[in-house]
Amino acid sequence: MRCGLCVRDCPYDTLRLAKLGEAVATGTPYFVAREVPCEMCPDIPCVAACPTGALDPGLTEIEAAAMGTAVLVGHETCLNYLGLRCDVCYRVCPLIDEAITLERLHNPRTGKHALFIPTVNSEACTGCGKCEKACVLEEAAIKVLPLRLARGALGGHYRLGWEEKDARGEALVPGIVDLPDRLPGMQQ
Amino acid sequence: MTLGAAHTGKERPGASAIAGKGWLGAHKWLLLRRLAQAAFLGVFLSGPWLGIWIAEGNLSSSLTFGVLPLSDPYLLLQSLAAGHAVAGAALLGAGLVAAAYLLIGGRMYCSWVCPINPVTDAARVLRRRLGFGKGWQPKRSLRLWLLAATLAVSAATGTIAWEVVNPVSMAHRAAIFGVGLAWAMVLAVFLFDAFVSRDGWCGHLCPVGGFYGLLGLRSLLRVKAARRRDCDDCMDCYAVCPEPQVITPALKGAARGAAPIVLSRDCTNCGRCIDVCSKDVYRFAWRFDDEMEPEAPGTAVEQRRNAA
Repeated sequence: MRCGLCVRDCPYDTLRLAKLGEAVATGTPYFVAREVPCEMCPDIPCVAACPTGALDPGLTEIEAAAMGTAVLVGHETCLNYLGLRCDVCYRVCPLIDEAITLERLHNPRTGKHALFIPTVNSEACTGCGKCEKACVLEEAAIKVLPLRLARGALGGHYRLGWEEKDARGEALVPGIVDLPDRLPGMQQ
Repeated sequence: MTLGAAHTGKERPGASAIAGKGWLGAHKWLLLRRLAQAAFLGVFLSGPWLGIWIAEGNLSSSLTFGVLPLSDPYLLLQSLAAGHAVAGAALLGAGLVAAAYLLIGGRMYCSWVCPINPVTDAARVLRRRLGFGKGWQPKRSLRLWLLAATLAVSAATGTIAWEVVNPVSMAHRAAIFGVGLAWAMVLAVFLFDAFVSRDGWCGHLCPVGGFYGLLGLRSLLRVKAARRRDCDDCMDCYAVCPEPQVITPALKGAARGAAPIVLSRDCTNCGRCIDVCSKDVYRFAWRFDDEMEPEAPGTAVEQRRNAA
């Protein structure tokens, strides 16, 4: 009902109501992660305050919240992508090693170091925004986005061949023609 | 002839009441109403401004002293139409609000609570000072069609449709949670009422008022033209009434044997007619109280009778 009772009960002044003219529909509660992220209170006072059930009263564990999901959008600027060990987003994540993991890749620039790529698991991420708040760049390289924007969705009819093969114990379609592989830089 | 025409170039409506009862006596209900409007805003502002928490939230849904939930039944209805299974305090809150207005008259919300009312009242004053007539006057039932439309759009879109444009909740929310561009909405209502249509917003368009009018269809608290025989046809009550069509059946219905009670759902119980009447024709009464009061001596009627 856009009453703002969740705003009133938010102990960190994270939530606010959208004013007319802002990008969010007027009067709806939202927060700007880069300014004040969600502190993920275990007693979820915003949900408790909601008189209509617009904030899902079925949410009893804040770790199960899905306010959005973090996405590492700044691949060119993220310090870890540049081969440095910033790791700040990973360190501040309330669900460290679940919502954000560091995936090790070869660093082709130096040829002998590793890249530790912060990688968001959108199923575990609550969208609290602490990573976006903590990102040391002038403009955060990791941002919380609405799930609909951030996530792809496989077609319902898709079957992953390797999983089907494991389940069945053999290839689903035997005798597939093996086409020649073309690798980058290979002469035709 | 328009109802306000009697006053153009003449003294302002209520002048004779001020002469007879004094300024305070002729503005009693208006002052009480302004106090009530300030109080209904103040209980929400004392928290964020002074740290004294009385009511949290806003008129859409609120929690008073941490225990009393109150919600707007019109918003709840739209929410239900939108297919949202409202649970929890909002159901109880809307029930309490609806029950109160069923008794005292739904449109008391309009004149005693709504934050837009002082704005449209001001536009009305400006309009009269500028000598404008009624302007564009769509049918007063238009607000009911708008009410139906908001429910239909809510059902079709799955949102609380009227909240996208509702200047009532926007103004109240803006005062409490931050203004944004809501001032433009309020200004638009003011300009519309001042320059396009007399009582256009509250009296013809606003579906919130339409909803509360329906809610108060059978309400108990009414204005009564208890001494209608004393009426000297000065027309001051018609001039100040935002819904003047409600007056005639009660004030002029004696010949048809009509009760002296204002029974229309459109009456906002603002009490301004009581204030401006120099003959004290009106007072608040209960719906079924249709006893006539004795005519005061030396009234217009008596003088006319003596002359005849």
